Amino acid sequence: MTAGIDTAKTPPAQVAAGLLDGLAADEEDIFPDPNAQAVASTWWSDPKAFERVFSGAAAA
Amino acid sequence: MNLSTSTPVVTGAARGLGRHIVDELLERGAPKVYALARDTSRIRQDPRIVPVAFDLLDPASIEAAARRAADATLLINNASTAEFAGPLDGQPDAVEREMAVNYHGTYAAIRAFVPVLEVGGGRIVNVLSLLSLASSPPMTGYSASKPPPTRLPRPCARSSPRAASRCTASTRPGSTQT
Repeated sequence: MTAGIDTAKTPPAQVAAGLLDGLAADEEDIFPDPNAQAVASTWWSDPKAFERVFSGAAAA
Repeated sequence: MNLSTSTPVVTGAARGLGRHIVDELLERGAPKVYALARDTSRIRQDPRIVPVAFDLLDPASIEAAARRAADATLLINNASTAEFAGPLDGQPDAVEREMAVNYHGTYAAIRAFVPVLEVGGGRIVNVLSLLSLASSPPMTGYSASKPPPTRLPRPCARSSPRAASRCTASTRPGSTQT
């Protein structure tokens, strides 16, 4: 689904492949595409900053 | 897990990301994929794809799908719904529908399929979006409906270790072209 931030959209085939790569590797939290991976590091390190980015209160 | 020997169930499989998940599972050698959708006529014809009628707003259809896919070893909860509405302009019934489909429906699917996954061992993955981690104002109701399923995997794994031997997983795609 489209996030409220202006990012490039990933083709669904690539998202599907990333999802299955994560399942094959027994990952519990799968960030299946480049957009998700780019922000995942922020979520792990600073969840509040992550929230601010998504609410539009701060730049990425 | 070894996908080439798995028997996956994909919800919301007629279009969007779900359709691509089905194709990718077949590409990786899954011999059979159960494709669950409200409109099974939109599922592409392939001898390896088993179409099953399924609606997250219809508990009887969820139970029936679990009986149909009795040999499943992987449940991919992909189906969901989204309204594009801000915090003050979303219609109440649309917000209710997002919660009914994305949370209550997903919960019902997990409850229906855990006994199935008990048989062959297995795994559940919930497709949740990055908006399960933070709210996006243009999709307020959707953002609120996506964290609740994250509260289900660990309790389900505790109650049914064999069905969720590696716990259940969450996947959080970013913006996708669907």
